[in-house]
Amino acid sequence: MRKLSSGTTLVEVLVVIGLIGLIGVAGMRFFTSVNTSQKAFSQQAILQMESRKAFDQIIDQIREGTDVIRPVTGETLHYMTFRDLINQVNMLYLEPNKEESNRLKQRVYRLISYCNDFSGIYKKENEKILHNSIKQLRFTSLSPSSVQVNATVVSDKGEYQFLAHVGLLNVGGIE
Amino acid sequence: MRPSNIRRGMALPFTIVAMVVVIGFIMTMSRMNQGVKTQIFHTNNHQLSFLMAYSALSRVCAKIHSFSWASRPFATAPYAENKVALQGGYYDLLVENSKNREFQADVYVRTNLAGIARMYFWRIRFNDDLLDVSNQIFVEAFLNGDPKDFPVAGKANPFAKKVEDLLAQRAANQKKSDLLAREVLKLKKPNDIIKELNGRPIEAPDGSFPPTPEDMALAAKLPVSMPEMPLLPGSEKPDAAGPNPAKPPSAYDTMAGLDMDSKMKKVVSTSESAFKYTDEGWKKMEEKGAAGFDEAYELHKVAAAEREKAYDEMSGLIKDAKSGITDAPSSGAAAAIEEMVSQTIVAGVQNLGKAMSRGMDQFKDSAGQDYLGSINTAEGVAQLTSDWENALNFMTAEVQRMTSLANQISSFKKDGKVEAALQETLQQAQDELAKMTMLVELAKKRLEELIKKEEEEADQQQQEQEDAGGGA
Repeated sequence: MRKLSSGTTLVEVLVVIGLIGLIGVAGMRFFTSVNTSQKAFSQQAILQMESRKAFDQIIDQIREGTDVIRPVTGETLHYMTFRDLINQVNMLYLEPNKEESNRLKQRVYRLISYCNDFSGIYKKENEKILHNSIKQLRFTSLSPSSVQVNATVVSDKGEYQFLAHVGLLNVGGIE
Repeated sequence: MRPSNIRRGMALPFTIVAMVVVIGFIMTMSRMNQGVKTQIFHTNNHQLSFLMAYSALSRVCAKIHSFSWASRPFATAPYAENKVALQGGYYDLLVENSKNREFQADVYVRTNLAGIARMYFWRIRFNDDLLDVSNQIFVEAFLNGDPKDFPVAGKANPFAKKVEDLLAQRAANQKKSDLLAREVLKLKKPNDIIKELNGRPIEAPDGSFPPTPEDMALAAKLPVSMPEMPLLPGSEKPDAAGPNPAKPPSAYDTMAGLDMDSKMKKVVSTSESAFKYTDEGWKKMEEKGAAGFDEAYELHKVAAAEREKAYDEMSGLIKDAKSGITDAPSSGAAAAIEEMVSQTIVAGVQNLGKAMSRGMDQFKDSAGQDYLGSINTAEGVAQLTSDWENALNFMTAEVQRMTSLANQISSFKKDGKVEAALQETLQQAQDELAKMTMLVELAKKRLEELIKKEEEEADQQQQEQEDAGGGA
């Protein structure tokens, strides 16, 4: 009797199709879940990047300062006053951001920087909004020329906490 | 011969498909991770660049420490390093002596990390103190710059000029800044601080979303109070000239300079007080009419005393300022004193001008003329004329004193806005004076008319009496 050795039986084909299907479905599900977490991770990275960009500005501003006025050494406050390179008094403070609060369904603040140029009047150009959705902000002065900034930034992508120890580098003017 | 038991199976295609799938999966994952890695790397780029630049500065400081200042590597010519590899990037360095400044050097570092270039600048000062070798280098100025501003040795350097301008500005602002910082330290609430800095009031939350307990605790927490240190009297200064010094301590030096600060504060508070009492006096008159005269008189007496005090304090301040300017350690410091004192004098003159104008509020529009018209007796108008003449004499003296103060600070450096405020106050005072002069003229004219009229009436009455007597 001639042995039927070439080709595949219907059962074999069905088993193979079944296996491919199972592996495919499992693979797709795995891939989708990895993709989702990757996207979330990427969004976190974007949030981090946007927040860090804003805080880089703040750090640059503080770094060019001469000395911290408030908080005094050892004190923690939600605002900071310090003198800049040309001895102007600057203040970093929070102001409620109603639009963002309504959008994010929680209380968030704008981080504002204001600089007094001794003109004796308010000038719009001396006021800068550095960030639009800050949940919490703390400044702790560690010495007259260094401060620890601790902020929680919130967006629809999540929350990001930022902690930096910044030294005011223009100390030569006050030693 | 072909073996009959060889089956044509699916192993190879399966393996190939599986390999393609696995390779594709790995590549996709790797690309995604790379994207995130790149994002995080860029996020850190700013901090890493600064750390690279700071490392370069530390190396410069170490070189200065290793040699003496006299044999520093950039003593005779700028010292440069190019494309020094660090942290996966590189930096360029240039150090040169600061122009026209002893023991100072300018350090420029341009970093390049992942294709992003940044420039940092430090001006360092070397304190050649053999007794304190651990604290010899101070940063005089630190700035972030544009990478394009990185100087080329031996060529003109506009960035150094910019630094000089900023440092001059810093010196000019020093005293004003000290004064403001001291005021800020006394304040407890952010809104009060922003007001002191002339900023926009901070909006209040609308209460839609409750604050976190941490926020509430922090908002309720008041900053610590700073102890007030009493000033040392000039005679107790370590470098005082001893008993009966030939020359009294100058108004401008690191310690006695504070006296000038307190004098400036006094000028502002006394002149404000002069306005306050004047205003309260007039308010009493407006509220109670003639019944409030006695109270108003007392208040105006206090206001007059405060005004005299303010003028004396302003003259004293200008005198001290002139002495301080002569002894100032630099032209920048002298300019700072001038600017600060002129600002204070203008604030004082503004307050006194306001007090003077407050009295003229009663003559708004044609109120003065109307009041004059309402008095129908020569005696009444004579009294009014006398009162108005007294007011005119007082105002003339006030305007002369204000103008004299303005002349005394005419050579002082002033901000454009301060100068404009002074001119506006003087102009307003002149306008008020002109108005008062006009009212006195009108009163005199009216007095003449009434005297004439009363004389005519008296003559007429006499004539009528004579006629009546003759007829009888």
